[in-house]
Amino acid sequence: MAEPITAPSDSSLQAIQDAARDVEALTRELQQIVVGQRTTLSGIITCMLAGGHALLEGVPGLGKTLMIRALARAVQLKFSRVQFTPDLMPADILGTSILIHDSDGVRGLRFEPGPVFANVLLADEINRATPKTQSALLEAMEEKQITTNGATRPLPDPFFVLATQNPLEQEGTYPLPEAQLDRFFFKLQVEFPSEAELVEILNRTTGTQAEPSLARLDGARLREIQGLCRSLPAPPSLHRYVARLVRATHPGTPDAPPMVKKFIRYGASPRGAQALVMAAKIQAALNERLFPSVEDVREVLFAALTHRVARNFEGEAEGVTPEAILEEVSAHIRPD
Amino acid sequence: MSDARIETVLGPLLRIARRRQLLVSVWAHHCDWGVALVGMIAMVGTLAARGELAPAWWFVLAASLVPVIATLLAYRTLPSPRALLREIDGSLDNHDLLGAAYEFAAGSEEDSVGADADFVRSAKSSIYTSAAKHASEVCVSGIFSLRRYRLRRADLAVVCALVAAVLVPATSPDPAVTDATEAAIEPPLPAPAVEPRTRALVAPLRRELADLRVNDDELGALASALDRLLEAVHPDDAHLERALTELDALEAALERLQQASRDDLWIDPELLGAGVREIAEQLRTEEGGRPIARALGELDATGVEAALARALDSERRGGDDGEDSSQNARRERLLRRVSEGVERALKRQTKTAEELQTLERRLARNSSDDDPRAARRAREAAPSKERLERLRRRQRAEQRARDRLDRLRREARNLRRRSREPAPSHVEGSSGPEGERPARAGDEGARARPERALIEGLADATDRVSRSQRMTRTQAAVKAAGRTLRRLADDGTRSRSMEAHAEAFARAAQGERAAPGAQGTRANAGAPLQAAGDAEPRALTMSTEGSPASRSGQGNGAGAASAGPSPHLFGADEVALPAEDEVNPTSRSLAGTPGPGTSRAVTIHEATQRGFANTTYEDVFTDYRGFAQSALDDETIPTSQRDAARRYFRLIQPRK
Repeated sequence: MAEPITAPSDSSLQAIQDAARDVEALTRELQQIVVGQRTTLSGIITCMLAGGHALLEGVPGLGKTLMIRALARAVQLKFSRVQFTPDLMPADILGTSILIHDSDGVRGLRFEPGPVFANVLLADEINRATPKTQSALLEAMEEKQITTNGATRPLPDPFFVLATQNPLEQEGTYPLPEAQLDRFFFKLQVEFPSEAELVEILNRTTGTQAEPSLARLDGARLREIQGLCRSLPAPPSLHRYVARLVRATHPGTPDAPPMVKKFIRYGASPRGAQALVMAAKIQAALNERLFPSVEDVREVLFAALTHRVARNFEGEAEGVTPEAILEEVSAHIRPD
Repeated sequence: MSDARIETVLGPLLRIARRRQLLVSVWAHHCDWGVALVGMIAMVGTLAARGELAPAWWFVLAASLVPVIATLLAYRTLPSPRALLREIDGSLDNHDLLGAAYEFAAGSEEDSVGADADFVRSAKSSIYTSAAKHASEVCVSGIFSLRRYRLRRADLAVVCALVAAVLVPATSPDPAVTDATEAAIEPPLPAPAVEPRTRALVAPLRRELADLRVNDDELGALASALDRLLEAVHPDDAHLERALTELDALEAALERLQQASRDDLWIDPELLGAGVREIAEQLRTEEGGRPIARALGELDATGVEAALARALDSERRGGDDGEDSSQNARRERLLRRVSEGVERALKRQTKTAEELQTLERRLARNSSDDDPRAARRAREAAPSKERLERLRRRQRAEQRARDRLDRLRREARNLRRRSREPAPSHVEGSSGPEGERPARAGDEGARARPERALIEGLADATDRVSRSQRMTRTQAAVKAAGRTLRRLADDGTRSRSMEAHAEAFARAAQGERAAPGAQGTRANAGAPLQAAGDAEPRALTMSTEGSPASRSGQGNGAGAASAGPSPHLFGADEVALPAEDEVNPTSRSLAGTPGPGTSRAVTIHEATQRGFANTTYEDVFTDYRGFAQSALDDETIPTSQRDAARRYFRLIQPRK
């Protein structure tokens, strides 16, 4: 006997629609400062809603720092910026204990927090620092806390690291370790603006146009939207599809396509699978849908996995891009 | 509970979609192969029915099974409900709404527990509602559309064949003929054990053997055994090996037979045969001698004996009865012809005596004691002595043949002389008819003895010639059979070798390595040729040298038929079998051209092996690239240096 369909409850749909509208409004506000770059902006917002970190890659002068600064202002979060250089030390990021004299003349050590103690941390040109300094961010990015002098200190909530790197200047730079790359939710390419966008940039930046006031979301609303996105139910077949997709990026698995077996040294980690599902849910929510689909996964596939698959020498020598390999994987793996 | 939810939300849509998908799939099978198959069955059925080879209903039944098979295949490949819904969602571009609703409905409600359980339940409820709404609006026929049938070349060919089959006129056999034919039909012969090609190969030889095995003697038995062997020959290895063993035994038996016939009383059959031929030639022109000439030509000793006895007897009776001088004249001419034939044969000179004298002189010259090289010459003269012995034996045989022929001539002369003597009218001491009868009987006996001697001598000569010729033919047949069997065996080996070579080349083309010894039975399965030394990689050249290929038949005579009395004996060459190629490659170690640096080189000395000379450089490159990759992975190296290392290896990577 057929079960009667219960009366539709619009509360969930309504909540999702409200969240999508707020995010859309935030994007529109950001577009007043950042010309174009809608895909990059959308990726950064997705990272933020997922509670992850983003790595932006692009040539200098494309507005990466501006974009992140504007986002921090728009969500009314504490923002700090660190310019990574080869002589930067971990203490310069995390903070250090300094010797102080109190009013009573007693000397003691007091921890002076570093720039990491912020809601939004812009790590500018992160690949210019040595691996030792880069690894200072490992605990902060994954555990949202730091440990110095034997004391563990939590970081503000929410906490996002938005890092940038320049793909052109490789002299004196250090590639990010795989462990740190894996901690970035998305790696986003910042594209050069089109002619119309460039004209608009010139209009805005070479005139006397006043800087708009940005205040669209606060931390509480941001956390609420994050919770909504996480609550979306995902079909079991989607989880199976993502699992097969991630396993297929490993050259040793039987499902791996020939291109992976030939050009990949190692594939994406389970964090990659988590990022795929979470980003798909956010995509569904931003499109006012109550469940993620295979199309959502495919939409975020490159941003979530390009930095998580490592090519071998042959792949790099042949000039095979991670995007091409992931395209092959996506075509090779079919959903249930 | 979940089934009820699915039924409520998606049940009708799923049922319709499955039915439609089944129909589409069945139709696709028909388009792919069903039409062509039905057409072929119809064509075969038409031809069979017209030729009354099979009843038409068989083919109607077979054609009707095609849709059933297509339906079964389509049912087996019918996608799952989830896959069906994904296809529908893909067509409607609704982000897998129906599929997600199906999965959520099929799942358990316990999945949605926790702080956001209410939200999840609410979300699922919204998804069900939305899915049910979409499902009611879905038009399945628009999604699962029937494929448009397009006439392909195969279908067109089948249709043309069907039309041609329809146009073929039906055969209507005459009932009387049919009945007679059916009555005359013999039970089918058992399937031949020998394949047609092999049977065709041995057929001429068997025809030759059919003539040889009619005689009921040792040679006939040997020919029969050889015929049985050829009848059962089969081109597989086991059969051929056994057949060759049996053939060796037959050859040995034939050799023994030949040795036994060439005893000390051996009479040369060639000279004897010449005498027989000359007598036959002489008698052919004589009226009463034609039957004898025919029997002599066929080397039929019994026939010769009978024909000659009959001729002499009739002439004698004619002389007795009619006192007719013409009868005596014919008898006289007959015997004269025999004598002339024998004399002509005796005049034939052979080279045996001349060769014997030459050889004896040479041996005598070489064996002079004052020659310091006498010992060496004695060793070299050993074969000549054997030949001398053979020539002497032959000379004795020829002399015996001449003696035999001379005896025949004397018998014939004796008979002629007796024939010319007038018959005595009476014998002293006797009178009257009573006294004449014993005298005539004594005269009869005196004439019969030389007659019998002549008849038996000529029959014996004919028999000896016939036997010698059959011996030669049997010997040639045995040799021809041996060549045929060995050629069959070589053919099989060559075929397997070619298959192995083809497989090896295919693997080599795919870049695989060969298993040792996998390239064929006659190929050398040697190890890869190694060359090491100080050499520049590009200056090092590797090569393989082999002895030139030799064709069989140039030295060992494996492909040539021996001359003999049966020029129509077929060898294997006459059935266009491929000639045998034998290549004997030799491996050589080569040192590289001296130069800076050390490199390694490995090549395979046969092209059928997998691997070529540039594999060497690939291996070296792979090794060092691995070292560099490990360093790049494990050590902190600035990016510019990394790029420099990568660029270096990119520049020196082996060309594909």
